[in-house]
Amino acid sequence: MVSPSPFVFATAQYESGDWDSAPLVPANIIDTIARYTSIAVAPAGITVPLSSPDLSRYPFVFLTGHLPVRLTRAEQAQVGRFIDRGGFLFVDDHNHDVDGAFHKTATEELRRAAGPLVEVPNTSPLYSAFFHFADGPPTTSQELNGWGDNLVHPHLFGVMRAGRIAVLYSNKDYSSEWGYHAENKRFQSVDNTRFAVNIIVYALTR
Amino acid sequence: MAGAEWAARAAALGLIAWMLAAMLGRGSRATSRRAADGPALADSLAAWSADARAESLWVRLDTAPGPVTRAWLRALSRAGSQVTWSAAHATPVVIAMIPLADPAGGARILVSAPRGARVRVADQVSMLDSALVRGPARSMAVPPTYGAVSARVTLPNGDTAVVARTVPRTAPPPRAVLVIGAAGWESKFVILALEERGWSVQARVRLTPTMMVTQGATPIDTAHVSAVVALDSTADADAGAIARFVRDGGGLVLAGRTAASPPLRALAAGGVGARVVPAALAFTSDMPRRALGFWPVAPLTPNAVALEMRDGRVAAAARRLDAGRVVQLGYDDTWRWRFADGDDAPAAHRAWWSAVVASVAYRSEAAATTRPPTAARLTLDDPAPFAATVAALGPPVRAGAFSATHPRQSGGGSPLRLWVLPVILLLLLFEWGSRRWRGMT
Repeated sequence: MVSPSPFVFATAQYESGDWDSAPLVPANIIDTIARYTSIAVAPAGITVPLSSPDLSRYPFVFLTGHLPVRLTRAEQAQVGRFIDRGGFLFVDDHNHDVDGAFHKTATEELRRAAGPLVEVPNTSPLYSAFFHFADGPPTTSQELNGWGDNLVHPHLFGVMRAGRIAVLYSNKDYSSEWGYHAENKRFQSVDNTRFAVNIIVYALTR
Repeated sequence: MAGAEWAARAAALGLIAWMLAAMLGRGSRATSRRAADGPALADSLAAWSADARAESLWVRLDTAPGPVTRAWLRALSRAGSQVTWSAAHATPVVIAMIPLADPAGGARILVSAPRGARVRVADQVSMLDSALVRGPARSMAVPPTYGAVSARVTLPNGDTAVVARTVPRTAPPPRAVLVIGAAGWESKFVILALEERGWSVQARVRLTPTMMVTQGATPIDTAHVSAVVALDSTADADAGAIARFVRDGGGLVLAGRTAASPPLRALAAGGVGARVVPAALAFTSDMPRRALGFWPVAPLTPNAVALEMRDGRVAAAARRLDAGRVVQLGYDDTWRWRFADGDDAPAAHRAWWSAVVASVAYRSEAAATTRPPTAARLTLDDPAPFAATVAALGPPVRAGAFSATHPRQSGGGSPLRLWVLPVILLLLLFEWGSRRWRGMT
């Protein structure tokens, strides 16, 4: 017997760029949450316009893309209000490229809408919220294969509110790493979506 | 004739002897009455304290005297003077101030005054609230105050103001509140709201059947925790400890459907009815909780009281359980309130949750800091002036009776002497005149 309102994985739809570049991620993460936790989770994700007041119905929002991001005034206002109220925005650079269009523009837009991004220390509770990641954010095959900027990014970044991460920003391209059908997890020796559990548990408990 | 002369002489001597005896009998402690009214009372009190003959004191005032005057009159009364008082507008008024167990401070003020009176409550900085008394007492919640708090009461006839004042006592901060629930937005934002309000929050948030996120692991007892907020059946595992905690004086908030959980059902203020969907689509600042769904509290347990009604159903109820208190909130998903339109929504959500927890939270009175009263505090602290005066001096007499029988200011003296002396003089004059008439010297 739990709250009638389950966790809903929401993907942000924004005016510029390709917001729907990782369509398989939501279902895969929902499967992961259901697989490892007893958190009540909606069986399907939803898409929510970043400028819509409906954003406030989904305190966890995932935002990704390859292309330049330019938030409209309404989107900026909603993002600022969303995180001030306690919402959690997870932004992933689908390019895995610190010199890429998404990274350059998204970080600037986030700075304007929410505040400066700071490095999240690898000792953050984020890395022990459920599974333990002693070395910080898990690497992705995109990093190890030398795609994108050919770098292994040792840290994630965040916009902080009262000591907690309100916006989590990743250059690691989890959008590609987790972009597959959930039933294919059985071919992996270690489930590479486990870090998503930490992100969502962190968002739900911090 | 000589017999009459002897009789007159004997009567005069007798009266003289009686007066001497009376004077000697009472000596220097001869009964003397003193009276004063409001403006002259301050001077009179000092004079009466130095006047050992002031046996009967009459005081006429407009209202019940203040703490200093009352203490002075009480001291005179205890020293042997008979103190009688009257007041033209002796209206019984009482103010009581109960600190809220809320980290943000504030208090509940109760004012008892005659029905129909208007009460204005103020601290030393500004007015806090005003209200019309419709029952035996008027209750109002006020924010943190500065200095003494006074209640000024204007009676229905509009021309009388009576003031009672109290000095808030220093209350210790409440102990931690423990939030128990499954991982979800409700648990997150209840914890966040209470923390933002200043509560020390412990948490047990269930992630899996065997894994829990804990924040501050202390036993569930009144030594460590002031209240438990059970958001769902996650609290079932602690039901035994929670029941003991409540019976020992702890507070419990059962939210949503938690009261339907068998291990916690015995603690609840009532049963749990079928969920009622939100009555409004959007949150409004005047009735925000209409946009929340709720599980009606039905039926109420015999000693429970409904705290909040919505569309004829009980949305919140409370009961006492031995020394503790339980509030059953039907509302679920209250976190949506925090995300509502309007800049004040998060603060309103915080304040509401904090008030709910504060209404049941255990607070140890033994831990209250007690400071010795100062003269200034004694002067300011006068929560029930009329009752205190009656306790100190007895009930007042009618103002009319006072003025009819007693002079406003009396220097004393027995009225007996006023007629005795002329009688003695007449008796001696008669005796002397008779002797002269008879030719005797």
